Amino acid sequence: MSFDEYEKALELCTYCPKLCRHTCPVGNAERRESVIPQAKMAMANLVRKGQVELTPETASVFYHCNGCGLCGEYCEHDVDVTPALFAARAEAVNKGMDPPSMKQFTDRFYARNDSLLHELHHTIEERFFVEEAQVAYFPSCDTIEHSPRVLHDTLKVLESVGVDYVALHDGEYVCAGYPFWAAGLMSELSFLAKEIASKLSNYKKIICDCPACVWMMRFLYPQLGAPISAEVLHVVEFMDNYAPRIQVSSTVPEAFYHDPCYLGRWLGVFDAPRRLMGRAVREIHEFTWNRERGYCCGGGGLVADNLPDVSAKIAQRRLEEVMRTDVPMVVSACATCERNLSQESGNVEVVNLMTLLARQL
Amino acid sequence: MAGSVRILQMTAPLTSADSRLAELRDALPDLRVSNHVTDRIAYARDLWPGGQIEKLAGKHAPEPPACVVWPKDSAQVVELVQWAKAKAGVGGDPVVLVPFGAGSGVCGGTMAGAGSVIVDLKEMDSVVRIEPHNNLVRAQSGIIGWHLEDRLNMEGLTLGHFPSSLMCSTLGGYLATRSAGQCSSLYGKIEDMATTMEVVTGTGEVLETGRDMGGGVGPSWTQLFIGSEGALGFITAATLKVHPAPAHRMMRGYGFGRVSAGCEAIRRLMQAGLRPAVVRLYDEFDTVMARSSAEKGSEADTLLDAISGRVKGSGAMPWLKRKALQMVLTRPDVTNRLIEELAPRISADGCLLVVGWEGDKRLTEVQARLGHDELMRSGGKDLGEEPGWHWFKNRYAVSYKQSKLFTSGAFVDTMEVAATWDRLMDLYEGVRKAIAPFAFVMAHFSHAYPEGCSIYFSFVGPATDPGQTRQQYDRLWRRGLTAATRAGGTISHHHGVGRSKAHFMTEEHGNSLRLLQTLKATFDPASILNPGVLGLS
Repeated sequence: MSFDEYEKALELCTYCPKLCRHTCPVGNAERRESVIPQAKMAMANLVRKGQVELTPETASVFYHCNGCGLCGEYCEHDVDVTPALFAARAEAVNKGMDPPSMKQFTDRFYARNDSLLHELHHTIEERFFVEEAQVAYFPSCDTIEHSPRVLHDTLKVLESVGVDYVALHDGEYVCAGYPFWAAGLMSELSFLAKEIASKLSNYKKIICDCPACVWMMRFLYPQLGAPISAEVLHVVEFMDNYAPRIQVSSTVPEAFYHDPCYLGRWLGVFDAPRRLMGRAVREIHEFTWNRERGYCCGGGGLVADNLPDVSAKIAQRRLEEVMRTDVPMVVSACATCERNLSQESGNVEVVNLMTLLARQL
Repeated sequence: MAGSVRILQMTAPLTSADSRLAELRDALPDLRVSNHVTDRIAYARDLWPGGQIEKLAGKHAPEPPACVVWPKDSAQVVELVQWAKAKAGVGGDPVVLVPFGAGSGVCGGTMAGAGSVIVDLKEMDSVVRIEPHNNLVRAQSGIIGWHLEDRLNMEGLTLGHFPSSLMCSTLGGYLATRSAGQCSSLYGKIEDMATTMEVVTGTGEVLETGRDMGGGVGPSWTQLFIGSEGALGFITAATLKVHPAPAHRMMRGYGFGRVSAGCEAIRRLMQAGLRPAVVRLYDEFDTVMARSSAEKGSEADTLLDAISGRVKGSGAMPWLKRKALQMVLTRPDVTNRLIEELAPRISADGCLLVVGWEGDKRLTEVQARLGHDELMRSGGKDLGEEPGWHWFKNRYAVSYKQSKLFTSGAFVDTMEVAATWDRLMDLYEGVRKAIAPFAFVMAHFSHAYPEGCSIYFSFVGPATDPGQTRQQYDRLWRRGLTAATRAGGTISHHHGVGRSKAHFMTEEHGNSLRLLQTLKATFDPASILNPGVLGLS
C-alpha cells in the first residue's frame, strides 16, 4: 500500500488520546513523547498533508518503531501502525529524505547476505543441501550470524523424530527481505521477493526458523506479486505435529517462554511452542505480557541497528520480570529475540527452543 | 539538530530555540535535552479538546516549546529550577518550566509557550519499593499508571486507581490534578491514596511532604501540593496506599425510570455505609451509548441510530452518515430537545445504573446482597449481571470514540462537576441546559460519596468551521461552568483546572484564592513554574 492509502489510520491516530502509548517498547525506552505510536502516526499525517515538511529530521521518528505491532492489540479501530510507518519510511526513501543512517542500506544488505551464505555453506555439511527435496529448510540471516548452532540443532531434532527428508535450501539468499520492508526499500523488496518466490515454489513445503521470514512469504509476498505456491511454516509449526515423538533424556526444571512478535502476534502461533517446550521443561513461566500482548525483545524494525541503546533498554525491560525471580532460563523461537535478549540477560540463559530440545534429547 | 523545518500555522519560528538549547547545555551538561522539531511538536500541548479543534484547522503546534528536558532524578530538577531562577533574576527572556507526564490532560494544564522548557518527568519512572506488609508503594512520578498497576499486580496488590487514561497518564499527573479512577467509590481519589510526596519547589528546595503513615499533626503539606498542577513545584515521587488485588468481583445492572430516581438510589446506597467499587448511573441517552459501546463501527452510526430510535440497516454510506451527523449537530438545541422527547422510547429499561463490588469474596458477596436489596427498595429494576460485565469489559472503550468523532467533523469533550445530593439535580439540569445550544449533550453520574456525587457530561458539537468552532467551544465552556457554579457545583471533580477553567477559580475558591496566590509567591517567587494554570500567573 502506498503512504496515502493509510489516510484513515493516520487521521484516527492524530486525534486519538494516546490509548496505546503504554505498549510501545520504543516509547517506553526513550520516554520521549514524539516516538509513541500516536505521535509517530500524527507526524506521518502532518507530512502526508503537507503541513510539515518531509526532511530527514521529521522522517527520523518513523524509524523509532520496532514494528512489533503491540500497539494494535489495544486499538479499538484496528489501526495497524507498523505497515503505515514502514510506508512512511518508503515515502522518505522515495523523496530522498531518509535519515543518514539508512544510506547504502541495499549494498550493506547484499554484502551481509553474501557473507552469511558463505558462512552457511561453511557451517553445514553439503549433504544437507539437496536440490530434489520436497521440504526445504530456509535458514535465516540472524540465525546464521548469531545462532549458527540452531541450524545443527534444528536438523538434529528433525532427525530425532524421523524427519530425514528436509534439505537446506540451496539458494542465493538467506533473508526473505524484512530489512528491506522495514527500511522502506519497497522496490528492492519486490525484486527480492520475486527472486525467492520463483526458487521456493519448486518445493511442497518450506520451513523457516525466522518468524518474520514466514510472515513475509505467507502474507506480504502475495501483495508484492510474488506468491509462493509451497506451504510456508515456521519450524515450530512444522515440529508441532511431531511433539509427541520427541523423546528427551532429561528435563530442565523451569524457564520463561518469550513470544517472538512475528511468531505470536503476527502469525498467531502461541500454543505450539509451549507444547514443544513442555517436552523439555517441567514448569513454563509466563511473562505478565504474553501471547497476543507479548512485549518485544527490541530486535525488530531495524531499531537494533539504528538505535542500539534503545534496543538494549527494550530488552532490559522485557527481562526485568525474569530478573526478579530465580528462574535461570528464557526460551524463545527466534534468533533475533535470542540475540537481543541474551545481550542484556546477565546470568539468565536465553536459548532457542530448537537448541533446548536438541540439548535434552 | 537546529530545527529549521517549515511548519504551517506555527507562530514561533523553530530556529529561535537554538539559543535556549545552547544555554541549557552549557549550564547543565548532564541534563538530557532536545529541540528536535518532532519533540517540539509532540510536546506543544496536552489533549485539551480546544487544542484538538485547532488541529482540525491545521494548527498543530502554534506555540512550541524552546526545548524539552528529561531530568533523571530530583537533583537534576533542582539544578534546572536553580538555572531558571537565575535566568529570571537577570531579566531578559524569562524561562518558564512546564511539567509533562504523558500529556493526557484535557484542560490545558500542560501547554508550552514561546521560549518555554518542557520538563518530561518520565525518566523518573521507577517503583522504588513495595511494602506488602504496610500496604504501601513508593514510586517515582513519571511512571505510567498502567505500568504501576502491572507492577503491583505482580505482587498481588492493586492501587485501585483506574482513570480511563490509565494507559496514557502518569502518577505525577494524577497527583497534580486530583485524579479519580473508575473505582473511586471504594478506593478513593488519588488524594486519598497519597501519604507523602517528594516535591521540588520553585525555590529549588526538595520537600518530603509527610510521612509514610497518614495522619500526623498540623496542616497536611501533602494535600497542599496535590492538585497544584505544577504551579508550586514538581512532584517527583510519592508514597501511596495499596490494597490486596481483589479476589472476587461482582457486577450488575439496574434500571431506573428517571435519572433523579437513580441518583436517589445511589444516595441511599452510599449513606447506608456500603462501598461499591463502581457506581455509574447513565442518563437516558448516555444509557444507549453505554450499552452500545462494545459495537465496533462508526460512532456517528451509534449516535445517529440512537437519535433515530436505533433504526438500523438503512444501508447509508459512511459519507452520508457523516453528513447526517453534521446536520444533526448543526442544530444541537433541536437535537437535544428531540432526544429529551424520544429518551423514554430509546431506552426501554430507563436509565442504566452499573454497580460493581470487589475485594474479599465473603465481604463482597455480603455487600453486593445488601446493595442489591437497597437498590430494589429504591425502585430499581434488576437487569442482571450482563450490563455490569458489559461495562467492565468495555470500561476503557469510550475514549476511542474521540478520534472517530473528530475525524467525522465533530468535536467532543467532557465536563466533570460535582455537588452535594440536594443540589445535584439542579446542577444536572442547569449545566445541560447551558450546553444544549452548542452541543449534543449526555451525562453519567459516577464517583459517589455519602455527601454527594460527580456528574460527567459528554458533549459533541459541530466542527465544520474550525474558526467558528473554537469560539462556540469557548462559549459552551463559559456557559456550562457559570451554570455549574450557580447551581452550587464545583468547576471540576477530577480533570483539574489547567488553563481552560482558570477564569472560574474565583467562583470556586472565593477569598481563599488569595491563600493560593500567597503560596505561589512563596514556593515560586520567580514565577517560573507553569504560569497560567489555576488562574495563577
